[in-house]
Amino acid sequence: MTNQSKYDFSINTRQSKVAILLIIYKFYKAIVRGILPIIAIFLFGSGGNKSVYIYTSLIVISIIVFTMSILSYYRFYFRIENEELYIEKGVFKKVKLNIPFERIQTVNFEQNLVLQLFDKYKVEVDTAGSAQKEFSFDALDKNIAEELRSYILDRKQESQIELTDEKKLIEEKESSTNDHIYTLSFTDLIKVGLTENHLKAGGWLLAVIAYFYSLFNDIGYQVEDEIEEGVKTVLDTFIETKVLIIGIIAIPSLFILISVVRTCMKYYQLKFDRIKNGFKIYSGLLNRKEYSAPDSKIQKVAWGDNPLRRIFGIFVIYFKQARSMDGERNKSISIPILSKMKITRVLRYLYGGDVDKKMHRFDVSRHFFIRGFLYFILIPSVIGGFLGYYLENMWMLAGVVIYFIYFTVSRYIQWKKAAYFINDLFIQRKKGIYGNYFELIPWYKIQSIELNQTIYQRRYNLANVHLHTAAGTTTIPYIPLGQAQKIRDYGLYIAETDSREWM
Amino acid sequence: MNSFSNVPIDFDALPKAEEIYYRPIIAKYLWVSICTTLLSYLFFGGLFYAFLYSIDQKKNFLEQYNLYIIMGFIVLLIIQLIILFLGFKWKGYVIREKDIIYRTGLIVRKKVHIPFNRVQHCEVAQNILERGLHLAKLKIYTAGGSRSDLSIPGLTNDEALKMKQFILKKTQTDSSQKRIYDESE
Repeated sequence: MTNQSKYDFSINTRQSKVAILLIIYKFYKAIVRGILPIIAIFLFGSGGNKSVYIYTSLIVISIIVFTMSILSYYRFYFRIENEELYIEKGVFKKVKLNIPFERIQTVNFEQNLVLQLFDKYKVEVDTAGSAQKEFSFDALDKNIAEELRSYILDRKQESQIELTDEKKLIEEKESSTNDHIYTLSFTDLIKVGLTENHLKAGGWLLAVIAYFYSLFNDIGYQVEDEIEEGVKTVLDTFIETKVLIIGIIAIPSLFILISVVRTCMKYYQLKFDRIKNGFKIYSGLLNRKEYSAPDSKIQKVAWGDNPLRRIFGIFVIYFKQARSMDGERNKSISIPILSKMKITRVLRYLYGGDVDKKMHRFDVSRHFFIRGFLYFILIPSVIGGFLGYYLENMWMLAGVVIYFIYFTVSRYIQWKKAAYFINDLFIQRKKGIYGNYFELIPWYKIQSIELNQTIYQRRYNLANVHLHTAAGTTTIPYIPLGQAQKIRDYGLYIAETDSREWM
Repeated sequence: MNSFSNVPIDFDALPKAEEIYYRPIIAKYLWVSICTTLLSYLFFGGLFYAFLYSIDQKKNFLEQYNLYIIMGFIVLLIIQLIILFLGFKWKGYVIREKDIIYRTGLIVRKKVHIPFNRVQHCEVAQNILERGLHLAKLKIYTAGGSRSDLSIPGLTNDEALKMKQFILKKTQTDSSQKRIYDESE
């Protein structure tokens, strides 16, 4: 091995002292989340002199949190022994963890504002795909973190190379490929932010408001009355000054602002690199992350756009990675990409020349539209229409008409866009209503296959195919049964005979 | 590259999962299903009734519609039992050389196919009813998430244990064969 470790990992090591701050923060977060309703009761509920309770409880909680944090900091050690990462922790109960190197997929870094200030790293040890629990260090010195990572990953690779000499050759050949794919410039960052799905930000904002609204209502704080009164006075005084029009302009602007700010913080100074057998992504403003996505862990690649993004030719590419056994945490990494060419480049890095092979396109049966139209559009519309007519409610009738037109059109577009592409190496799914969304799965990454037939589908000899992978399920709906069976038979054949490991 | 070769595949030459005999599950299991359905109807029916009772302050509603509610429940239960009964003969499994297939469902016909070399672990489970009738479930887990996990009910205890042993052995040999294949070429 060429790079000698300067740090001796065989001795017990503590985290950086900055970790105490983060542990305190974590404790507070957990406590606040747990007793938020109680706090709210104290602050807004009816009662006499509350301040005494508040201050004493605050002081007591703070003392507990501080002592617990400091104790847990001093009770935490890690070291490396026999190709395993040993961790000892726990305040009241001693917990010993050992993570064998071969279980470790990658080691990722993250820096929030505090860590950026002290130049420390949060280190995440990723053990996806094995039964091992995930683990992360709160704060490590930069050089220790980097050395730990290269130490673990080098050792891990060494043991893997020992398997075959041939593999070693490939690895050495591939190790020279260390390419910079691109850096997201500031103007492009703004473009990505502006073309974000702003309705999502709106939904997010509404969810936050709804949460607090229900919280206050739960504790008996009459929000409704307050709002009603407030709204009344506001309406009375300002309705003539066209506050309504301002509101109509202001609320969407707020949505857009929120989504732009969120996107920009997430993708700030995004750097996307090809490294040895994987990709590396750096991004983030307040919370700076450094992620690696090893090729073996990527189960499928997806990319998509939306109507706004299609104007600028912006796509977002997703690396769908295998999930870990314990948590169903979403392991998908998303990266905005500014040209279709770059997607092809990424796919070539991942799958080589295989991606250039021609794929055959197949469409989804028209019954996908017909059945959806009958059951979810026509029948509810007819019932709604009759009700509206019977009750002589014009608003209801208008609603039914809008519902009917909107969903008929969108279901039709959804059917027109639905397709799948097949060759002997990949299966690709295309879908979308407003945008387009693609998912590319190599056959050998499939875990299991499910075939479904509803009564309606049986009548027309159609079926749904669900392809389960370690990074989620891809469904191909409403295709001829014979075709579904062929997909199933070929998928099973590859899964059972292909010598490549799915991870 | 490594040993991987990729000759064109003749689709018609692939082993077809259609032309096989599905082994039915043991008929005794129907009693377990019926008991579970009855119990769950009693439980949720009771809960629903308690809910109605608590919101119906003046008891007018319950007095008036008591009979209809109970009738409704019974009709639902009968429909469910008929579906259960008709769907039972559709339940079945096949163990092939390299995978296991389980089919189920009357209204939505469902077939799940799991290759042995994708099995993460498998276990035999029994609830109280099954223990009384000497039945067991075989549960098979893959990395494909909860949607792709499989639970085959209505096996005898011996059968389930044997199947588990077989699958675990298969999983091991299938993946080790792969490795040998990898290294030899």
